Order: sequence, then structure tokens, then C-alpha cells
Amino acid sequence: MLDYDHEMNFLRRRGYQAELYVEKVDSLQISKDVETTASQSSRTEGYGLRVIKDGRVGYASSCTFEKALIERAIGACRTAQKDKNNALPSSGRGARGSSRNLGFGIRDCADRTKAFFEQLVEPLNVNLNSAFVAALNAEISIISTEGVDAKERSSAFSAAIDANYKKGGTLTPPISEYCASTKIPKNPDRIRNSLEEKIDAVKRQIALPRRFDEVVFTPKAVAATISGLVASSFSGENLFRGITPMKERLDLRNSISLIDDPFVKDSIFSRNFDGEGMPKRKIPLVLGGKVNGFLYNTYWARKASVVGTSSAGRRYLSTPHISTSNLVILAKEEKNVAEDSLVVDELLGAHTSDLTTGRFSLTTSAAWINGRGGRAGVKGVVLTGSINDFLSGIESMSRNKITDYGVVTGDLKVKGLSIT
Amino acid sequence: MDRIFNSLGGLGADFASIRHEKTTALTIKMLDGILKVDVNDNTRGYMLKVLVEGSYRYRSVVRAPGLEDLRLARAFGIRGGSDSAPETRPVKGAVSVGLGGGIEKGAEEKMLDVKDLRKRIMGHVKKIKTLTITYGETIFHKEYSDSRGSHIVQDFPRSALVVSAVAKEGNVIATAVEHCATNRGYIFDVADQEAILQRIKRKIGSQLHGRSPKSKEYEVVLGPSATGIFCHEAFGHLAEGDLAQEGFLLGMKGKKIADSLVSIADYPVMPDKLAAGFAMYDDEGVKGRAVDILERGVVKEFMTNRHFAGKFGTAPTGNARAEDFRAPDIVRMRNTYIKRGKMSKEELISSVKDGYLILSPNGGHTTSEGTFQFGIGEGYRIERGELKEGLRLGVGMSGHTLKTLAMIDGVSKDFGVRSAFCGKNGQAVPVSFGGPYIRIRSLKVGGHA
Repeated sequence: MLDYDHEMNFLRRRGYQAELYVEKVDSLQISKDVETTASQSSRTEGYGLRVIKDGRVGYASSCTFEKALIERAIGACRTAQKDKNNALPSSGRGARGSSRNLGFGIRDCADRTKAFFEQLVEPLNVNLNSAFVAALNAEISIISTEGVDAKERSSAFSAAIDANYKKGGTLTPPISEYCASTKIPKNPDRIRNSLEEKIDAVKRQIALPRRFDEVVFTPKAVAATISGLVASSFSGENLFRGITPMKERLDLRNSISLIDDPFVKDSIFSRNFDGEGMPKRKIPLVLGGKVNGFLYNTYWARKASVVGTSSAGRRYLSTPHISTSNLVILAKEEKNVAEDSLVVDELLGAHTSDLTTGRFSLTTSAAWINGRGGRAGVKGVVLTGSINDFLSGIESMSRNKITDYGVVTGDLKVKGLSIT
Repeated sequence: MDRIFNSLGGLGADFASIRHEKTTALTIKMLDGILKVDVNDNTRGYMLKVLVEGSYRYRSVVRAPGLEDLRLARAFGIRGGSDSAPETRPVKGAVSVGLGGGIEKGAEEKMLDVKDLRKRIMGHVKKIKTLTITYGETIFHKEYSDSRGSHIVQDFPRSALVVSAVAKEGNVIATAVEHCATNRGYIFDVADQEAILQRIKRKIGSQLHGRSPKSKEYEVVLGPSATGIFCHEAFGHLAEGDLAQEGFLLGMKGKKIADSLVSIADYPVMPDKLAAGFAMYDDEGVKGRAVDILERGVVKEFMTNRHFAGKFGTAPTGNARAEDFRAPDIVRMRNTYIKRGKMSKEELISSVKDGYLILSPNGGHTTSEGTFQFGIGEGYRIERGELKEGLRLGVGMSGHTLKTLAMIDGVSKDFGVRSAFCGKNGQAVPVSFGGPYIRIRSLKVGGHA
């Protein structure tokens, strides 16, 4: 294995800016489907080298750090097009040193992971389709010729359970519940209880009994609907290229705020530095109902002549792109958002949303009406609108917030979407 | 590897296999006139799969696995599974699909091909605001070995092109995405670039001047791409062994659920050069065979891995696939199609009084209970058998698989295929899908209330 500092110095002497991104992951996973249970342990490494010279950028990656990787990166650099915006972030702002976001060590958690899994798949009053539990430790290091020398060790524990109700001729849609944290929860009771409650809600299915002007999205449904659309709509790259429905200072005509927050406690999406080694910070995307900011990595900040926001995301396989961390929604809080409402928990088609216009047409697969007589499931409701409609239409939020999905939110009551 | 296989008995393991993969990947992206290499990867790794106490235990590493990896794989697992070692003869196989001259070109020449394509598109299609062209190739070397003595080597390429255009006219925005891939050489040599241009122009035109329909049920004709995504998303997933068991399709084996016009099959490879779901052997070392899932409207069989083949009492179909060496194998589709019929597409379209022609989907999703949803990238209103205005962005179609299959009453002889990536359980694998034009008596097309 080559020495990182030695190779960085070698590249610097040859006139290159160079950045090495190193990813080491140890993980454990147990999964179950209707029939079989499988377990997996793995130890993987990845190295991504970016070199820049005279405005040309070259990139290469591999699972080992070797001379061939450096030669491939230099070769790619020679064939690349010149672009004055290709540059590594300057050393003055770069992260230096090690940080930890480590809730557990992988070597010590095998028994706890197995125990959690065994509790997760204990019999329920529903038909269990699949379950998984995963624990990982990741170590990300970024070293550059420009003075960045950052390392972060983090942990992530996630679990999911998928079930439906299957009896006689009745088969309800499957519902999945998920939890994720940097720490291992004591037990899976929260997601098991939530799953049973939701399946109970959709056991009895009726047609939509009346017209609804508002719909309540659970945190899971909020994340599914808007995560991808927010990441695309608030990307500085897309703003520069004119392919986002958002505009600077756009008035959404309500009082919500939407913050990109990399420091949410126990969230697996929290980070101390971005994919270029720049220290993370909170970025308000929407403040008091007005669009306030966009997210940039170094390249797009230079191209747009703005200050970067340390929002580079990446894996070792590719060059940095722009990425969100945790999206925190702040809205007027109410105790009973879901009373006498159409509540949506699972949706089909979120990945078919059009990222340029922000438009979506989603079909509910798990939704119910919270009426005075109790809950009744409704099937195949189509929700049509756009990310602008969604954000403008947020009326209120419940007080219990979930952080598992990368969107920190309670139940959201949203008006202004087409509901058919 | 022999040391690992010879040590199984001593560690209480009944069976083991090792997948060794080496891949080189290159992605060249041209974003609004700026060219760069986005991915330039050279990776190798191993997945060790061990059968212990009835369940499989996996371990993935980036260097050749040793006895310590076997011990670690064995140590981490849950007891009480029901799998047993496969009772099969050893399989020896070697498959090599040549790269073709195009793929062997250097990156600089490939960049020129991308540049040329951009020039052609920008010259031909007006009103384009942004254009992204992505060329990607992966050269696969896959080896499978197991403790029964099987050894299979597969070498094949995948070369793909994605063109994404955004156009604007006044306040109206249109997006067109074209995606094609091949396992038979260099995509620039295989794909019809003129046809790509024409489709982009057509899609943009249909959206810029299109309307959003009132959301309700309509009579619909699906073109080959849309038929393919229906076949893959709405039906194909339900016929994967694990989801067939989880959902309702297993209980319908032998039952007629669609008209005799409708037959659906999944293949390990397809003769069509744009069908890029190559899986001659799967990741359990099983040689792939055709699976006739629906034969003249009757549910006939399911896609399986060894476990579900044993459970269903059938020969394995070769559908056990993993994204790469880091992932466990699960039941996946390969190349999935509705078979041709006898009508012409003109006959189908001209028979519709008030409905839609859907040519191009925009992804889709289905549940194990059979509810599905697809986005629409290109569609046209049909009025008294004639094509009218296009569909705006943000319209989808949805329904339930069984109900929709039973509503298919026309199948054309015109046929088309498309390749893409399919996601399941966090893994993406290359697949292809397609079929003829099909007429569906009633399907919900979603727009405004």
C-alpha cells in the first residue's frame, strides 16, 4: 500500500492539485424474507483520486491505493476539457483532524445486532414479509495537496420490517417501517407497534368517501415525496443551469422554514465535513416562507461566483456532486394534525417525479381516513402537484418528530394538491 | 479457494461458494458543453457464501478470502434456517462476449463520439435549454466456484448511453430522457442515433404543447417501452419467487388471469442487440433458462433461485442475481417481455374512441399486493382513433395488476425493447423489458382533479 502523504507530495511536485478520498467500511447485516434468513459481514475499502492541472480534472477509483490508480487519474486528466472552475477547495477553510460520530463499534455489536433482529421478527398480528437489520462503521478520510486532512469515523444502525395482512380473500398493501440512528436502539418496539397500528388502519378498505382538500403526510411519506425533489430543486448547479422550479427569494406564501442541518443528533445523515473535506454548517433553504439559499460544492460555487456551502456529497466511485444532509422542517405545530383527515403513509412513484419542474403524480399504497368512526383504509388515491405546491401548502405539523429518514418532521397537513 | 472448500466440514458448514468479480467502469459526461470523466473505476472483490445450520452466511472482502474469512462468515448468523446443500452436479462453463472495436477505443475517442452526438442533437432539436449526455461502460469478469466443484467464468461488456434534454417555451418546461444499452459492443455502433434524435424531438414537442388530463379511467394503448415497464413493474416483480410467495400470484398458478392473447416470459439473454440484461449463468452458478410466467393468459411458472425452485418443485431458472460482489444474491428479473400478437399498432390506435397512447414511461413501482404506478414521459390523447395533443409532465398511470391484465384485449405484432436498471432491496441490476403495443380497456391516467 502506498503512503498517502508521499504520493500527494509526488503529485504536487508534478504541478497537480490532488485529493484522495478514502472510504473504509465494516458492516454486519441480517435479512429475512418470507422463507429464508441470511446474514452478511463485510469489510470493504475504496479509494478515489482527483487530480487537477491547468483547469483539467482527472478521476480514478479502485479498491486499493496503488500506482495504477494514480496513472489512470493522470491519464484521464490529460484527455479532459479545460474548465477554469475545476479547482480543489482552498486550504484555509479545510477540515483538519479527526472527528467521531460513533455510537457503537462494529467489533462489539454482533450479539446486540442479532438480539435486535430476533426481537424484530418475533410473531406479530400481521403477515411478516421481510425484515433486515444492518450495522456499520465507516471511516472517511480526505487528504489533499491544498491542506485538507480530515478523518471521520461514524456508525449507522438501521432496521426495517415489511408486513401486510393476508387472510382469506383479503390482502392489504404491504407497509414498511424503518428506523435509523448512530446508536443501537434498546429494542424494535417503536417500529413494530407502528407497523401493527398502520396495518390495522388499512385492513378495511373503502373508496374515497368525499372530496378532500387537504392531506396529512406521515414523516415517512414526507421523506418519500420531497427528499429527492428538495435535493434537486435547491441544488446550486440546477439553479445555475435554469432547471429548477425554485428561484432566489421566491415567496412560498406561508411561514415555514426548511433547513439543511448536518448536526442533527443521532442521525445517520449528520456529518462534520463534506465530501471535499470542508467543515459542514447549517444552510437555511427556506426561511419564513421565502426561498433563502441553495446548496453548492466547490465547482458550482466557483461557476456561479458564490460562496460555497460545503454541500459536496460523494462515494469513492465518483467525483463530488451536490447533496443535502438532514432536512429540518419548521412549521406551525398542532397537537392533532390528523383528526378527521386523509392520512398518507406510503406512496408509489416518488422516483418518477420530474426533477426539473418539481412535478409529481403519486399513487397511495397505504392511506387511511381518520374519521369519527375510526380509521378506514383507502386505495389508489392519486396525489398530483409539485414541490412548490407541497411547500406552499404546508399548513401545520404535529409535535412528535421523526429523524430516521433524513427529513426531520412530524405529520404534515398539506393543502393545495390535486387529490383524486 | 480449495483451502476454504476443504475446510468446510471442520467448521460445521455444509456448502460454500465464492464469487470473484473484476470490473472496469468508465463514465463520460457532457454537461452543457463541458466534458469530463465522472467514473473511472477498477475494482475487484470476493463474496464468500457459506451454508451453516440451514441458513446462508455471506462475507465480502476486497482481497482473496482466507480461512479467517470463512470463520468470520460462519460466526455471524442466525440459526434455524431450512436451506440444504444443492444436490447438483458440478457445472463447468465459460462465456465470453467480445468487446468489439468501439469499446476498445481510448477515452479521448469516446469523448469525441459524445461531442458529435451533442452537436447533432442541438442542431436538430430547437428550444433545448440544457443537454446532458452520459456514456457509461462496464467490463465484467465474473467467476463462480463452489464446494461441489463448479467453476464458471463469464466475460461481457455493458455499454450504455443516457441523453437528458430540458426544453423551455415561455413558462412551459419539457424533459426528454433517452436510455439505451447493449451487451453486444459499443453503444454508439449499435444504437440508431437518428432514432434517438427523433424521439427526443417528439417528446419535447408533445410536452411543450400538451395538456394535463382530468384524472380518471381511460382506454389506453401502451407502446413497447410502456408495455415493457408494465410487464416488468406491474407483473414481473410479482412473479419473482420471494414476492410470488409474499403476494398473491403463487396461489394463482394454473389459473387464467388474462386473455389468451397475453403471454409473458423472462429470458437469460435476448437476441435483440438493445436488450442488455445479460445473465447466461446466475450468481448461484445456475445456467439460465427461459421462464414462461404467463402462457396464453394462464399463470405457469415463476422466476426462482435454488431455494424457491426447491420450494416450488421446479428446476431452478437462473434468476439469482447480485448487484456486485458486495451484495448477496436475490431473485431478480433479466429480460422480461410480453410476446408479440397479430394486430398492427394502427389497428389498435384507430379502435380507441376516447383515450391515450402512452409511448414512453418514466419509471414505475408496484407493491406485492399488486398496486402499481408509472410516470409518463410521452403520451398522446386519442380521439375517435386519431392522435391529438400530447401529455404534459407530471402525469402518471396507476392500477392493479390483476384487473389491468384482464383488461388487455389487443396485442400487436410490432415489437420493441428497452434496457435500464431495476432496483430491489437496495440493489440495482441491469435488465431489459419490452413487448408489443397493447390495448387496455380501462386504466387510470392521473392528472388534475
